[in-house]
Amino acid sequence: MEKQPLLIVRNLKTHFVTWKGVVKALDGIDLEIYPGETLGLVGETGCGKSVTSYSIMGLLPPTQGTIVEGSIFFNGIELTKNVGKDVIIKYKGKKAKIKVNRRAYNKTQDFLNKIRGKEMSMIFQEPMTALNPVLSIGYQLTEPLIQHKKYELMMRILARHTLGDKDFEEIKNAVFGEEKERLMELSKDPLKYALIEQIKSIYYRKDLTSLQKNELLNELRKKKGISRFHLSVYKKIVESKYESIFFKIPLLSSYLMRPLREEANKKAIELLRMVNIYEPESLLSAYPHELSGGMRQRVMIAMALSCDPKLLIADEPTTALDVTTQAQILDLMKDLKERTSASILFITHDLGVIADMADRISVMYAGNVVENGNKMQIFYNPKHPYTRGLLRSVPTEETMKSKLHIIPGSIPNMIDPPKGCKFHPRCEFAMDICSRERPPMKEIEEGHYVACWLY
Amino acid sequence: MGNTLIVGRGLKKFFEIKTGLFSRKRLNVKAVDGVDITINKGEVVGLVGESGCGKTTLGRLILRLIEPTDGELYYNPSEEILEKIKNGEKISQDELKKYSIFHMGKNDVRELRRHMQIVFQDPYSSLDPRYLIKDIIAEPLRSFGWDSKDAYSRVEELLKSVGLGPEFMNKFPHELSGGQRQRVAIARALALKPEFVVLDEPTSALDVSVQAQVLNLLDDLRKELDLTMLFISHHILVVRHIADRIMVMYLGKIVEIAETKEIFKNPLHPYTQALLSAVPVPDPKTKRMKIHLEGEVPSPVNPPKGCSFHTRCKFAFEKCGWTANELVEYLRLVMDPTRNEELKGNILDEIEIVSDTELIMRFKELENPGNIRGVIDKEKINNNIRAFYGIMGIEVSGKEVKIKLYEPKVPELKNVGNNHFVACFLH
Amino acid sequence: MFDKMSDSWKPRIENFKITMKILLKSPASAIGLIIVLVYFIIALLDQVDPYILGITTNVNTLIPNYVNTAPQPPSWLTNPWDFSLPFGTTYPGINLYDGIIKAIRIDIAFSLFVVVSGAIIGIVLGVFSAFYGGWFDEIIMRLTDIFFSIPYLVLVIALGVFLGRSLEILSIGLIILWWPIYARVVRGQALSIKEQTYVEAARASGVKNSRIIFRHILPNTMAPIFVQFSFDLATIVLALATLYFIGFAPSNSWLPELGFLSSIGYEYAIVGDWWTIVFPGFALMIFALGMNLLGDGLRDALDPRLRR
Repeated sequence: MEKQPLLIVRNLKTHFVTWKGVVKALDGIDLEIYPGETLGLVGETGCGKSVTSYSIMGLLPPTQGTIVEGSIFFNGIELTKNVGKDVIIKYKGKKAKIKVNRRAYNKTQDFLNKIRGKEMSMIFQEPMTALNPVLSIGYQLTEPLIQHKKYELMMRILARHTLGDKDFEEIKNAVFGEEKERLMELSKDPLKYALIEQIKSIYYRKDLTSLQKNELLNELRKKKGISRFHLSVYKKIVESKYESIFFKIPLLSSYLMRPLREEANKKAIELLRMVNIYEPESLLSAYPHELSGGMRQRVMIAMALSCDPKLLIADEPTTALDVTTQAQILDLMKDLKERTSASILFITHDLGVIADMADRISVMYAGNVVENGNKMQIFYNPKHPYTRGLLRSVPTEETMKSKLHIIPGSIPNMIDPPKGCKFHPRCEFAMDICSRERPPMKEIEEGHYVACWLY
Repeated sequence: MGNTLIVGRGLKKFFEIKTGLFSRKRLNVKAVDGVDITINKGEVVGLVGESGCGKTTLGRLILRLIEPTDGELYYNPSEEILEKIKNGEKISQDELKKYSIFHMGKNDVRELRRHMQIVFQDPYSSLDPRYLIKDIIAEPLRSFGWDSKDAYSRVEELLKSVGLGPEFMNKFPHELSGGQRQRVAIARALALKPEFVVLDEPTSALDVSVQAQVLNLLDDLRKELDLTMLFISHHILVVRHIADRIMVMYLGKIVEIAETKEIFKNPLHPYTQALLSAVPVPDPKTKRMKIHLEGEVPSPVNPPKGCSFHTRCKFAFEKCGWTANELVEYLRLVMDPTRNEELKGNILDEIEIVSDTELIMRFKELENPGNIRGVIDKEKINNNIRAFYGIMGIEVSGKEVKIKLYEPKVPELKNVGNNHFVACFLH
Repeated sequence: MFDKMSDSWKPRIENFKITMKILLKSPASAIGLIIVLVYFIIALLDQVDPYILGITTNVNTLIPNYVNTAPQPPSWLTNPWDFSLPFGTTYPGINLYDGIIKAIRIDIAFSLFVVVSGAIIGIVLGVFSAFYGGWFDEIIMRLTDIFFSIPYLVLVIALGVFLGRSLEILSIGLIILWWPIYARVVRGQALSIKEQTYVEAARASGVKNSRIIFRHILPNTMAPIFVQFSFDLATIVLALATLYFIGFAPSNSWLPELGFLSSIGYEYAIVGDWWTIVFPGFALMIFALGMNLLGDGLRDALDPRLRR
């Protein structure tokens, strides 16, 4: 069964305008991510991997740079439809000027906002910058839910109160028996899906005995706490899909919101438990600076997962963390991937982390993807001279006390990069053609592609 | 003068944080908490640990770039001093003033700077952005009296020895890449021909390929100039590549010392084991069971008593230093009748901490006092609650249950053979 | 040898060129720079060769003309293209063009003297305060607090009343009031630079404290100093003008000074001889404007973040 890729990037070119010239950060990259897999994006400083993630998310600062060519398809939707219309670069010889068409840019952002944060979310390297230091963690987790996810919150409440005991038992057994197929079937009904979510959160708790878990399930089943009026209004709203109107009526909306706020809190606590935070209730009122780096990163992951994204972009998520914390976070991410079947675009320069996390790997150099393959192929059969050089310069048990292999030279100037294959000035196998033409990506074995004239 | 270059005894550095409105509360960050260190001529000692363990502070302490809170530090100590230290003898004030770096006058310390140098972690801030490379490297020479001409020609030599051509003399730091800046920093450190160099995470800010270049360079220089190095890093694989001996640091104390091969083959301290298992190896085939540590690194403001690692250790037992406050959480969890039916009828009201080694559980109702001990033992074994190993005795009186704990003791570094030292009660 | 010298100056000159480029990019700061340059050139020429500017008399005093004491309007108002009296005259017969050109030199000289002295004192105290901390720092900070709370005009007037109304007393008074701002600015900068790794590296290299202060810390604190400097030059000129305007000058001198010129023309301006006050006032205003624009421009040009 041929799976369709979740994310397709074709010939993506991103340029930045600086007073020294135009930086060609991405020079035509191709990427594919299939549902449920982790694609590792590896490269060193300046290769363009972070720029790739920002380009995909549409987070490039419009006054500095933009996508100039190429396309990005996510779940069949073209994210790059406004390329060339919202932010325009005018080239004048070596320099250029960048202009922003505010109206078109706002339109693009509105369009992307529907996808960003919902089906596609991102975790950054520095957890402190993604979390607002003056707002409590609870606020930062619940506000987006209350603002944008009223439908889901209402569904959760309705699921608890309107589904019958029979459905309840069925779902409980599927969750506790970890019957993935069954659960995927059941998830198609949004009401049942909302209940599955809540039951899953109880099931995965490691600090409870099965006795206690059953207690909690019974609590869940008790249909109390919401008035009939609330329930009927929610039902109407959910069915009619005109939710925004109801919530604009002044008194009615605040009345309707109250149970939703509580529900948002419950969901926030569930999320925090999902990332292995032990006492989530006490964390809700805490502020980012009171948490350690590892915890902040977990909160970021919780926030990124709160909307159940299909694609999670992780940009060096563990680089700023200690080794032991990193191990916890990486295992957590693997675990979550299992549970939610999301795809991950994992960006890092650490080859050890990639070997652990990624299913497939794309190697980037100076704005191009130079090699692409699955984990085993890249590590045990690297073809591109850069990939090989990179693997050999890592200190391992065998290299102890002897010289490390080095790649001579340094990363090229991205304003005026070398012609042809950008790696040729540093390549020991460089041929004449390498300085003239850029090599195309060629498949040398199944699923393994290289861009090099040697092949 | 013998083989030992640096000997440190009881090194301590506490930072004071003033909290509270009128600075009444003073907290001590125990960055370095009683470290003994010996570095021999010509060897490369690796110092590993995670953030907050104090390794950076220790590096600076050895060069007396920050003032110590306590301890003695000797550079090229005489035989007599070495003897005294071996025997654990006290050293007189006069001798301290003469030989201990921590007790010398500022001028004597300055003299020693010729012999002991440092390369910092961040290549972007360790070079003054307003000065040309040649002046940056010439500075140590100038401050010890060299004139311009001699200084600049030595600078040219030094640049060559780190693989940079003379065209770099008249450039500004911002024109150089990270790797090039780090080489400049190395050149500067070597200007005065020191015997000992501290390298504080020299490659952590660099890419893998650049790191390889710098590591090779350091290796060459070490052999050429017969340098002794202290290589501080959190990146174990890098340290393994270059160090002869490795010291593992946790919360201000050294927990294990051994030769590189030995420590990787046979890590003894539970923290070292966890650390080594957590390091990601660039080899997809390695299937390793990662040892997961509970929780996060505790704050160095109030490190756990006894062995500072006991709160996260899977093997912690009585001696390791459990204190009453560490038990409270677990007791609350365990004394719940819905969790443990044998405790039906017991309703816990509050837990009072009397001292580090004593606490009192006050119950509203206590109908099943006899089962408490049994439950604690059961939880201890079934759920591996190490904290309960610290319980020495349980006394019931009325509706109060008093729990006494063992006295916390700090483990000392013990030689377990083969020049392998561990600070752990397991050994 | 000379070859090597030019080698090490080239990159510094490049650096300067970049600063200029950024400065001139914004039209406001370019205008500011031009204005300031014009004034300084006038002041310089006054000192060196006033004849170029059309000044034939003594540069240090205003020359009254008791024959024709009534203020006369600018000559080009009555006779177009006649520039014999470009700014007219004021009571008692002082040629305003003459007066203003001479006054610019005096004002700028005075201001430079005060600000530079205050800056030097403030910078030195500030940087030592930051570097050594402790009781010295406390004392200096309390002193600056005290001086900040005193309105400068009041203090200077008080000094003048008690010690005599000479330019020297005035300048000393103003210097005493002005050093605190420099101390504060430098101290703030120095405190953060002190923690930079390159300072630590210098200490590790065995560099003496004094050298660290003057070669590493101080140069990196200069940026805000230049900005403050340009604003202060304008402020002091205005301060002097104010004092002279309210009549605080030594009574028997005819010192060319913009405020003084304005004061003597004041009564006549009210009855219609507008040029007596407008031209000296404009001279002041444009100088202050130019200095401020330049200061703003410098602040942006020297900001390391905007350079990359």
